[in-house]
Amino acid sequence: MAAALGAAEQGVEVLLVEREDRNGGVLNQCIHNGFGLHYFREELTGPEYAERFMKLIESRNIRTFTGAHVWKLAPFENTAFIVSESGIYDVFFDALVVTTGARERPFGALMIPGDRPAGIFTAGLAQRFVNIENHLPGKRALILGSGDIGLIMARRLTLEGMEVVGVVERLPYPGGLERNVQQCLVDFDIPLYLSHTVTGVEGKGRLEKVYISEVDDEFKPMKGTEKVFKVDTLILSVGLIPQTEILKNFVEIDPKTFGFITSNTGRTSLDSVFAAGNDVIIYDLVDYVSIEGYTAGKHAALHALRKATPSRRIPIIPGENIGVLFPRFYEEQEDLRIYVRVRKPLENVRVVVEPGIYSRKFDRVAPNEMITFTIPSEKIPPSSNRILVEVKKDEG
Amino acid sequence: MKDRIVICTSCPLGCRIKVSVENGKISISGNRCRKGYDYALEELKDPKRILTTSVKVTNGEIPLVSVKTSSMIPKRLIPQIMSKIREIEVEAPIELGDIILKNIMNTGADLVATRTVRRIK
Repeated sequence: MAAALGAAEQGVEVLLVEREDRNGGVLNQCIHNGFGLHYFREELTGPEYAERFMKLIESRNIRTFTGAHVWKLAPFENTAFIVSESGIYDVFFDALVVTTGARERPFGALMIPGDRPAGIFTAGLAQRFVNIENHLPGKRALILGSGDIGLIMARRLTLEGMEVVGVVERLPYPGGLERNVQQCLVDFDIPLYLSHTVTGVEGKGRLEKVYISEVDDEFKPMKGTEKVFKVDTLILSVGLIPQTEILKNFVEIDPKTFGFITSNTGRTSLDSVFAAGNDVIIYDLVDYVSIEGYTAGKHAALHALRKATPSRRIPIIPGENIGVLFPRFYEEQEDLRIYVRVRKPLENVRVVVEPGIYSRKFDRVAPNEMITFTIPSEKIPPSSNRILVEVKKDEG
Repeated sequence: MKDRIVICTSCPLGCRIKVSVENGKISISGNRCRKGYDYALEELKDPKRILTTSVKVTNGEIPLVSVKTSSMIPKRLIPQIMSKIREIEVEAPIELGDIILKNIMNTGADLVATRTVRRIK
């Protein structure tokens, strides 16, 4: 919706295609609050945030097509193939913005030994059952992974009457925001097992037991640390994978994260194709997704209007301690907003961007809290061969 | 009482606020705004939270409407408020902002709808 808005504000005709019956995606099932503080300067729940955008796009030249699925894209022919209840359509475009978000890493990807019973859900699926469809997934649950969705679901399932026996995290620190650890776990006395992982699942038909163990520095389970939980439900919050398959043979995709590789305008390796949101990198806040979506929409429209020819792309290189970095290229027609996730928690560090264009000190940084900042385009020398982003120990 | 670290839940920044009490004097540091100061103080006396949950809907496009309390409520009342909410049912259509329950348990907070639910049939 933000991309549609960004494009429409440049005066182009916009078609927004959505698979579900209502725009907003996963926001509609995220009924907790904490959204919108950056974008709307107000704290909103997910559905409220989505409806704010619905109102914004209603007032523009945007056609929305819900209940419609893009089954194929032919970017060289500028065509999208869409199926819906009302028929099959070929849609021609001058520019395309792909905002397909991410999928949850499934149980099958974890290779956990044991049975394959019912009762194992990804957190987002459980969230949809509880918040949209009015079904409780079970009676007693263990949660694997302390990402935000896992923490939120620990609280949600507790509120709805399930017993949550714990959250298991293989890293020595939580994956989600600090405030969610407080208000979702500490508030409800739910134990957090750091440096632990699930080593086995057992159950005939329905899940009966989950085994966990403490792990060493290499994430290997340690002998003699095993615990058994009698639970009928295991909830997985073990990471999100950008959903980029629809363009995998056409544009550059990061082989490690599967995210689209884009510049600060949202442009992919194909000039007329843009991408933004969790199909590029996994963001902490929906506000960031909206800001980058809006930007990608704007530049897609400028491309469609032939108002901007793609300028030289300066590569942006992740240096010391950088785990996740967005964007990967810089184009001069937009300011450079950088989003960084560090590899591990660090204290007294300096975030530095070479050639000497940014430097800021931080007391604490951690992978669960993204660092974001903007470098105005005037500060970036157009002749730079590359931009290097690093997080270094602060010397002075 | 010893120093206590309070993680502010007022916004996603999640400031680590240090609260120390010495001879009845409370000192608060590490907050980045006024909200954080107030939060840390409340956290010491009577912790408060916004409650978000859902309420059953009849004749709606979906069987639930998401709701929130219009202001913070004491954390200790959450279990009682949840059992009250479990008993109610509302009829579609529902507009975002509709008041579902007024002044829940005399907290001064209303329970308000956080989405639109269209009526079917």
